[in-house]
Amino acid sequence: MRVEHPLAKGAVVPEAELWDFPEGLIGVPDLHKFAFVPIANADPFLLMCSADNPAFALVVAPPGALLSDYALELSAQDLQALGSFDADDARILATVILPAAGDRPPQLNLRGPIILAPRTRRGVQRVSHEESHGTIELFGGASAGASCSS
Amino acid sequence: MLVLSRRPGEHIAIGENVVVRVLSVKGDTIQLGIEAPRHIAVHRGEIRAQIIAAMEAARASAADPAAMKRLLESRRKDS
Repeated sequence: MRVEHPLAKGAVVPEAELWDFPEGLIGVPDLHKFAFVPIANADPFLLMCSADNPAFALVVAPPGALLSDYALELSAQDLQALGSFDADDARILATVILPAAGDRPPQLNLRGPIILAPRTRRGVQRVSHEESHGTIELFGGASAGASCSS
Repeated sequence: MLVLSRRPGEHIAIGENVVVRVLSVKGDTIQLGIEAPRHIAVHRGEIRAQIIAAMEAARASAADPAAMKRLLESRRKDS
């Protein structure tokens, strides 16, 4: 799969490195195969691109790398969906709303975390019912929801 | 849309595996109990709508070639 998005700079992702989302994403149940492509000079941000619909791409990041006190408890249902029963294997990502022109800071959405199981290369998106998991503003912006402690 | 009237203690069956039970009615608040298989996600409607809106905003923002530069500039200023 060649990723034509400007942030991916024509990266080529082998079929074997795609991730399978059997349930799709929330509100987008028909997309099942995704690539996660590093964005140049923007670690830990990644471009999440659909292999089913090349026009679908968004930026994601691991909340744990950006927020010191982020935690998400995975349920047995989550682990079953991922085909993995070792929670320590799981990687958690959150979608990022990049800043529009002006002073509005970027935002991280903790309400709908994306959970990846590297061993099975499966992913799911879940709803976090943790009260503190709303949409938060990054890099010194004021919180748009609640704080992100957990 | 199918519209059904139910009293507290009564329920609605959806298919073979989903049951929605009216537990109580207090003022304008109805407490529901939902029994469904684990693979069926059950969420408050406004939470799901919030996530879908955030996903769409994330997708739209990623289409702006300058937006990632602005994010990195925000990070640089914050560090």
